[in-house]
Amino acid sequence: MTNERSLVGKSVKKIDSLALACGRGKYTADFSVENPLHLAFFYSPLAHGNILAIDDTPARAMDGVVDIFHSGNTRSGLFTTAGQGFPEPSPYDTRLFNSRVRYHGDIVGCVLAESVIQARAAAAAVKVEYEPLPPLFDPEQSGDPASPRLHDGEEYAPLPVPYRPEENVAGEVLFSFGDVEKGFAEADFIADETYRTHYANHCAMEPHCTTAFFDEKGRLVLYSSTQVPFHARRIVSQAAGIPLHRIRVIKPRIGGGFGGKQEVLLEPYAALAAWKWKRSVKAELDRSEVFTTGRTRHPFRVHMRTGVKKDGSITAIALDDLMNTGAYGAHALTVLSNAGSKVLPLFNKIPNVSFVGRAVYTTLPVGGAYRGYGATQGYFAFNQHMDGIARTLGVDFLDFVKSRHIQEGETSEVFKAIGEGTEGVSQIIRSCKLDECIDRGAEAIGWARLRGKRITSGPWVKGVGAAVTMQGSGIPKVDMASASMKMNDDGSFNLLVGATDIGTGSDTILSQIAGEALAVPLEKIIILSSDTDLTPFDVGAYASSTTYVSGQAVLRCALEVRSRILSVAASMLDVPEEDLTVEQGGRVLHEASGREVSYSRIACHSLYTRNQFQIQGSASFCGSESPAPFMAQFAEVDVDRETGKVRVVSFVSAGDCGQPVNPTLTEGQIEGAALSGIGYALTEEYLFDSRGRMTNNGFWDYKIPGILDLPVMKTIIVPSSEPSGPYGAKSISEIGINGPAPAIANAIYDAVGVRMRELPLTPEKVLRALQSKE
Amino acid sequence: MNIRFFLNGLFVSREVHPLDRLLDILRTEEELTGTKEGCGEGECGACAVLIDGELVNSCMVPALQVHGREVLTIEGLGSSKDPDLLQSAFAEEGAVQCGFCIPGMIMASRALLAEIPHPDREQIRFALSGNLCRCTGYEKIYNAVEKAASLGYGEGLGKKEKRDILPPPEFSPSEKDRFFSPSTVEEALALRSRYGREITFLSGGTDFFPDLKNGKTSWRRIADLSRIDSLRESAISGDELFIGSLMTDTGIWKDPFLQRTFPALTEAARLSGAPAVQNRATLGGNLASASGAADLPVPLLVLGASVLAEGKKGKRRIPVENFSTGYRTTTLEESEMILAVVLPLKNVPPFQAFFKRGGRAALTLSRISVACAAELDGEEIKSIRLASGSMSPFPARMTETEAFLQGRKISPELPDLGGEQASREVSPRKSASFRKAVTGKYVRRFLLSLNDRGSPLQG
Repeated sequence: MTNERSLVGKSVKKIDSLALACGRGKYTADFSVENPLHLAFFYSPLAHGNILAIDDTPARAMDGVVDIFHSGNTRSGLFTTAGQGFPEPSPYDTRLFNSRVRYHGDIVGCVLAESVIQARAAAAAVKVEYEPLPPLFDPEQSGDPASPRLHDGEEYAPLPVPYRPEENVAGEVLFSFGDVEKGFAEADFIADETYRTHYANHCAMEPHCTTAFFDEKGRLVLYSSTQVPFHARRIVSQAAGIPLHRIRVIKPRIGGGFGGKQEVLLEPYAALAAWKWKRSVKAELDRSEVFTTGRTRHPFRVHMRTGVKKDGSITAIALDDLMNTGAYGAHALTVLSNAGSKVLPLFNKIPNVSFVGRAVYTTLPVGGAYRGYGATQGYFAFNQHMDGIARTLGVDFLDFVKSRHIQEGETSEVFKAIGEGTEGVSQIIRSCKLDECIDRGAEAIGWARLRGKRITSGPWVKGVGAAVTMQGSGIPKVDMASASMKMNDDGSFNLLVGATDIGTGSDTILSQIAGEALAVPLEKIIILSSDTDLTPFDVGAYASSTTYVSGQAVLRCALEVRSRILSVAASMLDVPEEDLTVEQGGRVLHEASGREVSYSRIACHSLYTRNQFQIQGSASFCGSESPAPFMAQFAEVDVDRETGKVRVVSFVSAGDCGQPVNPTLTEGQIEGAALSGIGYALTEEYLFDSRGRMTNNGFWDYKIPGILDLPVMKTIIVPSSEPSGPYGAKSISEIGINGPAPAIANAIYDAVGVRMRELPLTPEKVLRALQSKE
Repeated sequence: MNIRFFLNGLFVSREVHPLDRLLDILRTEEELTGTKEGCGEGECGACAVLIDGELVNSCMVPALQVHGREVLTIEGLGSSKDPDLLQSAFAEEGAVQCGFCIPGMIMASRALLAEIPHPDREQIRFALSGNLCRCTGYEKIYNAVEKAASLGYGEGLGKKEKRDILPPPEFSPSEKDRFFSPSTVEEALALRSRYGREITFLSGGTDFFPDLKNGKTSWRRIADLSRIDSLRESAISGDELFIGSLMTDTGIWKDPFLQRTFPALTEAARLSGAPAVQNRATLGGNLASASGAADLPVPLLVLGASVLAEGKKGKRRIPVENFSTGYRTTTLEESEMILAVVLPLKNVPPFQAFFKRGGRAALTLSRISVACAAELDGEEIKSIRLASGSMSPFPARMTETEAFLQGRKISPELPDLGGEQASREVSPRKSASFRKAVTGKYVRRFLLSLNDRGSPLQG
C-alpha cells in the first residue's frame, strides 16, 4: 500500500446527503407505524410546588383518550435523564412523574390518545391541585438557609462524587495545585473579574421525537431522535421497568442534536405507554416544549482572578464558578468540570492554580449537554480576562497567548486533576498547531490593519477581537466505541458501528476510515449505525468522540479484517503473508511474482472453497488520552455607538483538528459551530417572567441566526497529525462554538472600550455600557 | 370537504377538514415526508413548498386554500436515483448536514432561481432568509445555490401564474354553516352582516395559524377571502391610490410605482417577514390583527393613509391613526370589512424613511420601528410626520416631536434636538431606556439625511 491516501483527507460526498436533499431520508417522525397512539404532556404552571391532587376523570372521558399517566398512578425509580456512561456522573434526582414540581415546564403527566389533537385537548383538561412552594431563581442564593431545598428526598449520586442536595449543590469540583495565595502575593497586580453567561437552547431543527412499536416478534422497537441509542435503551429499561433485552433502539436520520438529544427525555414515556397498551405510540415535542422542557446550556457565573507580574508572567489563577443546573442535575458535575478542565490547561505554565466549581439547583429550566459543554462558558470569561491583562501589560493579545499556551510535548496538571465523575487522565499534548492557527487567522481577519484602529464611519466604529480555545476528543478511559465488519462475496464490507450520526457525517467519515484501511472505494463500505440489536456498543455522539474514539474502533476493526484477507490470500497464492501488499481498489499483490488476487476472489474462496470461514472482525476502543483540537477565532465587528448594535462583519476560524478526515465536513462543523456561537453571543436568550415562566419559547422571539445574519465567514483548517488518532485525526465538532462570544466581546472592547462581561451582548446592554462609560 | 389539487404534477382528490394544514396533508395523507415541521409558526421554513410557483410555509396553509392549486414539494423535483440539478448541487457542495432544513431550503432556492436565474449573493440571502439551518452556518448552502445557478438551473423554469383551474370548493353538509369561500366582496359582506364577529376572515393565515397553535385565538366560523381577486388589486382614482386589502407584502414591495412613491411603505413590507411569509401576509391582515408590532401601519401613519371599510352603513374611511383602539382591537364595526388602504397622491412627502430593529435580521416582529416623512420648503421643514411601532398597543404618531420640528429651519443642531425630543416622547413598555434611545437615534438619522438631502441610513 502506498502512502498516498485514497479516502482520508478527501472531501467525498456525505453518503446520505443526496437522499436527504431529495426528501427521501427518513427521520423519526417520518416513519409510519400502524394505528399509533399519541402522547401529549402536561406541565407544571408553577416554578415550585407539591402536587396535592390530580383529577383526570373529566379528561379520561374525552374523545379518543386511552390513558393518562401521572404521579398519582405511575411510580418509577429515581434516575437521571442524562445520557452518559453507567453509572452516570449525574445525580439520580428525578422520576418519570415527580410528585413535586420544580420548574415551570416540569413534566406532570401525559395523556395517551388516538390522535395528537385529542391527546393535547385532554392534557389541557387534567386538573392538578398544587401547594405552591417558594421558588428559587437566583443561583447565588441557592445556599442561603432561607432558600428552599429542591431535593430533600431519596435523591442520590450513583457515583462517589460530591452531591449535597441539602445545600442545593448538585455537583462540586475542587482542585488546586501550587499555592495560589503565595502566587497572588508575588504578583504586581491582580485582575479580578466576574463574568456571566446565560441560558441557551440547542435549536436542532428537528424537535425531539420517539416512535415505539412492537415488531413481528413482539420486541419493543423505539425509533428515536437520540444521540445515545445505547444509553437510551439502558435508561428506558431502568426508568420504565422494561427488561433491557426486550428493547431495541434504532436511530434513523437525526435532524441535529448539539447535545440536546443526549438526554433521554421522551423514550421512557413512549416505551411505558406502548408496553402497557401493546400498541404503537408516537411522542413528539413541539418547538415550545423543546425550549421549556428540553435541555439548555447551563448559565454560569465565573469569577476569575489572575496574579500578574510587570514582566507579564502569570503567578496564579483562581477560578470560582457557580453553575445553575436548574431543577435537575443533568450533566451538572461534568459540564462544571469541563469549564475547568478544558480551559485551564491552555495556559499550562501558571504555577499556582485553583478551581472551585459548584453546580446548584434552582427552580428554572434544566441544563444539559450542549456543544462546548462548559468550555463555552469558561472561555467567554477566560479570553476576555486575558485580553484585558494583555492590554494592561501593553502587549498584543496574540503575542500574549503565543508565549503562554500549551505546546507539543507539554502537559498540564489539570488533565490529571479533573475528570468526568472520576479522576482525570494525565496526558501529553502530542499535536498542537495553535500558533499557526493564530497567525493564519490574524492574517485573514486583517489583525495588523484593524486592531486598535477604531476606524469610524458615521455612528459605526470598527474593532477586532480574538479568542483561543481547546477542547478534547472523547472522555479518556470512559468512552468506549466498537465496530464490527464482515466481508461479502463481491469484496464489499458491511460495517456495523454503534456510533451515532446526528447529521455530523460520522457514517461517512467512519466509512472513509474503513475504506482507507482496506483500500477500497467508499461504495464498497456498507455502513449500518446505531441499532442496538444489530450494531455493537458505542456511547454515542457526544464529547467530540466519534471521529477519534469510534474512528479508532473502526480502524482497528478494518485492520483486523485486512490481516484476515492477507492470510487467506497467502494461502491462495501459497506465499508468505508478509510478502503481500494490499493494493488500491481491493486487490492483494505478490510483488515479487506479480501475481494478485482480488478481494472478490478472496471472499469467495473463504466463503465457498476451502477452510471456509467468514472473513470478519470486530474491535473496541477506549482512549487512554483525549487529544485536544485547538482553535483561534477572530471577529471583526462594527459597533453602532448610537444604538448599541453590534454587527459582525467578518468572522474567521482557524482550527487544528489533526488530519481532517473529510475537509468539507470539517469546515461544515466549524462554520455551523461558529454561527451558532455568534447567535449565542448576540441574540439568543431565555427571557423569564417573575414566576419563572419562559416568555419567548419560539423562534418568533428566541432568535437564532438566519442567513441574513451571516457575516463573511472564513474557515481555515490547519492540519497536524495526532499520533494517537485514526490517520492522525482529532475531533472538531464542538470547539468552534467556544470562541465567537469572547472574540466578539473582545472586538467590542477594541472598538469602543467597553468590557461586556455578561451575555448575550444585546444592543441594549452595549448601549447601557457605552452610556455609563460616558 | 373534498379538495382537488395537483401535487407534484398529479391530480389528487382528498377528503379533509377545511383547516387541516397543508403540511399535515402532505405528511400523513400523501405520505410525502420530505416536507418537515420545525416550528409550526412559519419561522423556520422547514415546511416550505411551492403553490402555483410561489414559496409558502405549508404549516400556515389551510386545506381549503389548496383546492384548485398546484403544489410542488421536494419529492416533485427528483429522487435519489434521479435527482434534479439543485438537489445534486446541495449534496455535492456539502450543504447537507443533518438535512432537516434542506427540503425547505431547496424549495426556497428553486423559487428564487425561477424568478432570478443568476442571483447575486444579496438576492440569495434574501430568498433564503426565512429558512433556518442550525448545522451548516449557511456557507455551503450559498455555494450550492450558486452552483445550481451557474449550471443554468433557473433558466426556463419560468414563473408560474396563479390560475383558478377549478370552481370554488364545496363544503360538506356539516361544514356548510361554518366555512365559507366567498368570491366577491358582496358575498363576504353578506357573511359579515349575518354573523358579525362570529366569523373570522382568513387570508394569508400568517397570524391565524401561529395564534391558533398558541391558543391565542379561537374561531366559530371561517370565511376564506383568498378567492376575492378584486381585493388583490390596486388602482389610482383621482389624487388617491387604493391598495386592495389582500395585497401581499411581496406585492407591495416589488411594485415599482410604490417603490418610487412610497419608499417608506415598500421598505416596511420588504423588512417584514421572509419571502414565504411575505407571499402570504396581506395588508388588510396586518391592519386587522392590530398588533403593536405590525410593520405596515407605521409608514401608513406618516403617509396620511386611511382604511377604506365597507359595512351595513356603506363605505367609510378611517384614518390609520383612529383604526386601532388597543391591543388587537380595531374600530371596525361588526358588519364591516377592509376593502383597501387609501394613500393620498397629492403632496407625497419627498423625504421618507423606515427604520426597524429586531433581534435577528429576517423574520422579526419589530421590536422598534420608526417611519418618517417630510417635505421641505427651502431650508425649512414644511411638514413632517413621524411614527413609531412596538411602543404602544398600536403604532402611533409622535405628535409632540412633529410639532417641535414643524416649521423649523434645518440646522446642524436640529437632528440632535429632534432625536432627543423623540426619545422623550415615546413610552415603551419594556426595555424603556434602550428603546427610547434607539427611537431618538432613528429620528436623528432621518433629520441628518434632510441636512444633506440624501437618503437616510438604514436601521
